[in-house]
Amino acid sequence: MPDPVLAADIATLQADRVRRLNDLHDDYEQTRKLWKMLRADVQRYGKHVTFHNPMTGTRADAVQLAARTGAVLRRLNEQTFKDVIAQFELFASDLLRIWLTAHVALIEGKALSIKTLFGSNSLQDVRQAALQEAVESTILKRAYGRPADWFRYLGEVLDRPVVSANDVNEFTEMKATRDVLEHAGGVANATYREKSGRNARGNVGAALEVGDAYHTAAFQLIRRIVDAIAKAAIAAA
Amino acid sequence: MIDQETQERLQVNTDGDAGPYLMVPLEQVPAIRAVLQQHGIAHSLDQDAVQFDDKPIIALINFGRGTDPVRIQQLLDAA
Repeated sequence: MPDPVLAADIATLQADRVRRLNDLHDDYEQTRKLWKMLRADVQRYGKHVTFHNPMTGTRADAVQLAARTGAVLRRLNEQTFKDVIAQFELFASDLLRIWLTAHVALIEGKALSIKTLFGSNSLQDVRQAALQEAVESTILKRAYGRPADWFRYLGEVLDRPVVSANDVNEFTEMKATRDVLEHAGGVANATYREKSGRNARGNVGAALEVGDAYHTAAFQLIRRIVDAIAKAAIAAA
Repeated sequence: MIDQETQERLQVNTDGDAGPYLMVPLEQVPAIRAVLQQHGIAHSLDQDAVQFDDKPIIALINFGRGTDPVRIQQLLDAA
């Protein structure tokens, strides 16, 4: 039987996540433009600007800042790329919280902790706390798994396919890149190659760059799969 | 080849460890790209161009890290 309240909750979650993604992209784009504007103004038109820090008394010369534009934009690409990938993980976790709470038969068993039991004031409290703990435990068990397994699990709980195989492969490589940026100094290693498979963008030892086109592709992919999964969940609600 | 706005030499810039780049009036981009393509220099036109007041629109041509800025400069000086 359709559940309009569940569908509405999922639609709200989708709208919120899309808004955050768009805000992230706007911040990224506008920051890039400002840095490029500064660089052009200083290097082409000889603008003299000095930034003073009243708290520390230090000064930063615009010429020095402008000279850092390339490196700053490269780091900005990497950092916002990681943020964009994280947005999908947050969306998937939040969606599962909503879905599993409404479909308790899908929750994997977990013993109620003594702390929770003794911290509850009523049977209703106990039930609510037990439900929350079991939902979080179910989500956490999946959190460190392979992306292909997440998407498969989402398809199972929603009882329908959610994302194309191409998008799964693309996301898997991007998540592997994120892991390399976070834990391996941005240099491809054997783990990256194994995770990315045919989508790997470099051999072991290669620097994995997050160029503008790749960054755009990441944003478009996450928007696409958030919308696809939300649509599937609303239809299944 | 000179910068049509400043009437000075086209200048290849570098920012530390980022790839070299060129800031040029937008209207000169096709001619410059023709030179780069003729000599097999990989490059891309930045998605952002900047305009201050009523000055010409300034486009950015990016070269990858590892591209030799000296060679690019020589080609542009000779064009």
